[in-house]
Amino acid sequence: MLLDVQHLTTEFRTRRGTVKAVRDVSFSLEKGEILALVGESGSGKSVTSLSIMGLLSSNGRVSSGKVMFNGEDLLTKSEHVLRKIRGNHISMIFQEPMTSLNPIFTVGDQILESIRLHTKLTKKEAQEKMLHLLDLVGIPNPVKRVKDYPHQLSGGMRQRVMIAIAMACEPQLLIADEPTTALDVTIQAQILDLIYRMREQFNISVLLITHDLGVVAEAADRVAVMYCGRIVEEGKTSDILTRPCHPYTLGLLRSIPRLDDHTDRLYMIPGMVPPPEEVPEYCAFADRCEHATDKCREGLPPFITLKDRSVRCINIIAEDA
Amino acid sequence: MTDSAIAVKRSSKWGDMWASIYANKAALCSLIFILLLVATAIVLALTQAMGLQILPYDPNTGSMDEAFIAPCAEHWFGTDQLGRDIFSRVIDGTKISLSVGVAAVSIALITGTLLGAIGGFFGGKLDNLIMRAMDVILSVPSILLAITFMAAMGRGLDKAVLAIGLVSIPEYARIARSCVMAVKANDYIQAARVTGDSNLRIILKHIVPNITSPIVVRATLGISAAVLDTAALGFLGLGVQPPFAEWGDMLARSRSFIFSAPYTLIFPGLAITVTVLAFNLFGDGLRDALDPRSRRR
Amino acid sequence: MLLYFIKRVLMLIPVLFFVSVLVFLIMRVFSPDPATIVLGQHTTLEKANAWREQMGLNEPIIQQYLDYMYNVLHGDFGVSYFTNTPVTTELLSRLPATIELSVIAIIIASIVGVFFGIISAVKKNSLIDNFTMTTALIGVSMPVFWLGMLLIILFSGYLHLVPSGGRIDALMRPLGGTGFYFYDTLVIGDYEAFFNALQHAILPAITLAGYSMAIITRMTRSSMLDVLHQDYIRTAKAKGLSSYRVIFKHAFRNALLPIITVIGLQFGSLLSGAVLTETVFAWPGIGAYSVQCILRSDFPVIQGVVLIVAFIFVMMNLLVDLLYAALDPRVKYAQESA
Repeated sequence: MLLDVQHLTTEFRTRRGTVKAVRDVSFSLEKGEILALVGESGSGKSVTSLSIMGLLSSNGRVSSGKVMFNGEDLLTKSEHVLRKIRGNHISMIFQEPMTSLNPIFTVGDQILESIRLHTKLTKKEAQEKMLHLLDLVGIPNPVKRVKDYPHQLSGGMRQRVMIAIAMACEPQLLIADEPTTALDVTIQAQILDLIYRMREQFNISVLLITHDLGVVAEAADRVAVMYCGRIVEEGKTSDILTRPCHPYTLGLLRSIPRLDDHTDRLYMIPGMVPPPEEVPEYCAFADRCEHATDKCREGLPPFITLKDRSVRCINIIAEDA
Repeated sequence: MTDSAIAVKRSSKWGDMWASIYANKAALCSLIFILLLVATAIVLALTQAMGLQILPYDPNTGSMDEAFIAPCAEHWFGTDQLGRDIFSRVIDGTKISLSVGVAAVSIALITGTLLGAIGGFFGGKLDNLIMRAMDVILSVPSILLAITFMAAMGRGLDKAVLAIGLVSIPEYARIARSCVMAVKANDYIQAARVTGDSNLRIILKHIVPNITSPIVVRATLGISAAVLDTAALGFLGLGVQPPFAEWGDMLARSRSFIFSAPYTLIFPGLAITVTVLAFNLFGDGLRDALDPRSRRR
Repeated sequence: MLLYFIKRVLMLIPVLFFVSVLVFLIMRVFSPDPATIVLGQHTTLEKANAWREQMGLNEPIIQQYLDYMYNVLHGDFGVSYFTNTPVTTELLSRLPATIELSVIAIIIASIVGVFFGIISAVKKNSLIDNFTMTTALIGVSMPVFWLGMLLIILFSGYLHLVPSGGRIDALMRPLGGTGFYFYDTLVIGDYEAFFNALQHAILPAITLAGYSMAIITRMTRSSMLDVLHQDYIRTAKAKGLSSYRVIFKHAFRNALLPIITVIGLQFGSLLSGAVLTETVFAWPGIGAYSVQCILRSDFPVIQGVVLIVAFIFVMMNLLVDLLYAALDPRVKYAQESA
């Protein structure tokens, strides 16, 4: 097991007191596996990834839990040790390729920086490696492109550069935080395909963070659905997408527009996501759930392990989406 | 958007503003201090017009026997080279500094806003001409330009007001112009035009409410700059003429006694600094209150 | 880049032209008749007329302007009403003192301002941030001349550390040379005089730097805070870079652009702040001199001073724009594609 997150809880100090963004989240990732962490914005999926990286903003902290990476708990490591892991063993790419690259350095410099930081390659070797990386992520004419500044590249090209930076030191884990959200649909598929290829070629594990239970999650081996800082359902992608058990997962699936669907209106989950400071201590989805009973509001439902998945719900639905 | 929706949005905006200022202790204290200064200036002007003296001593006369008394119970801030009570003079100076500040800012605000709004609203050659003229004024450092005006027009408070006002016109013109252009591009203005509203009606109904807040913020900060400039001109001997009390002028006259009677220049300088500080703090608070985006900084 | 440079330089010509017109108009239109000022209230009409004729003030105003600008372009700013020496001579002998002071001041202001601005931004809301920001706020609220006098009271009055005015002790003044005392004294190897000049310069330089220092600190802080929130800073951290490298390489290089703009603008306003500072410290530069000239309505000198300062100010703005283009790849790109 490469990554094993156990009972992770992350909180932020805000003007209105301490707010929990991630609540007792556990999941694990095998070598070479792609896990999609799916949820709406504010569900805590990005905070989970930043907690793993140790890159929470100064008002945030992990209050309990463990992040086991190769059998060692990253949360107990010093900043110095973490720096040697970041960008080296664990890399990350972000949602906005437009703003994630430093505008005043060339693409080449930004890739080289990563290579030179974590390896002992000479300048020449590093440059060769950089060109190889750009070729690998499918950037045409790398020799010319390395002298370009980020603003001279398209969004898709920039995300490829980000992937090249992330792959610079052949990491074991790639965290991709909404890597395709800001891109055109056609480019989305290309980038997903590229991530998939990287996994095949280097046997890396990928934590794919997305709000899209459709196309993006389909690229994953397993899916974990988050709602209000908690994982509510987790299992194999094919099982979750075809037979969701948690009412929230079902709701998400039904709100994806589909070509074969001829109903007039798109389904919408009633109500709104509660703000983090108002998340109740019972099932957070109960107030929006069509199947909710009084029992749902009595306490936090336990994680029920079925034969092909785990679900945090006491009224498990069995319905084909 | 209907009119009532706009009205609701606006009233809550001002409500938010007050809540935000109320929460900002520095801005709130500054506001109270500024109100106190204004009240002092008004009361002084009224009572002196009626021939009453409410200050402990006459600010403009003293006797040589009482020159250079260090701060004590009778003279809180001491007395100056002519035996005048510095406390009374510092308080009396509020009148000049505030009125020059307000008058200069009013000149700049009215002229600048009008020029900028006209340029922004009508565009074209007129706009180009106005903005190029503003660029020229901005290409000379403002205090130097004010001094140049003073050099040409001669000394005096009225001329100081004019000089300080003239050099800060471009700031208001730029703000007003960009606001008007932004508002003009909005859909609801286009709609108002289509439904046949006159230019004047559009300006009064849509543009004036929208440029108010940035202009008010600029004007508050502008008063602090004007108070500083007034003091600078007074210090150079270009502002008020004796015997009237003005903080900059008091400092200039104390300079000769800098080592023998340093207290003569502590208090007028403190008065300038605290007044300017109050307007700066209140202006910053007002900006944060009216433009939430800037609050983070 | 060259094209951009040429374009920017050409754009200066109309600005400088209109500045010269503005200054000329202020001096000739707003001002009372200089003849009565120079010759006194009780001069006769004939005398005044003769003086005006001699000064060329009876020509049509456009002719006067053209004559004046023709001379200015040939380095002749006219003759002082009072000393009858050419304005160019008067100003050239005093310009080095002002430039020396302003350059030291802007260096102090930039180094201190940028340093504390960065610390403040990185340690946002800490004790040091609050202290720095409060000091900076007081710094922009304090009259320059009052700060100067307070420093004199403290450092020369009570502590006797430095002289309270002047540029150098009279006996040590370097003769001939460039007029830049720091340079002149070092060239002839007179270290005693160098340190004497340094002692004289330190208070006026700090005074003059004060306001700009506060402005630069505030600008650096807000610019750094903006940049530190950017996504590429998160990328840099995710690469495993040390916070030192993140702050100085990735953040500061980006924050530098607005900071440079402010420093450039501040240099321009320093030159006018010199008017006040030089007066307080009896610093023999063009600032203190122009105050004397204003008080006695010596228009040709004032006109010369304003034109020269405006020229330097405009040139600083040009320099800032060019630096900006050199530092920000996006500006160059916009120019190339345009």
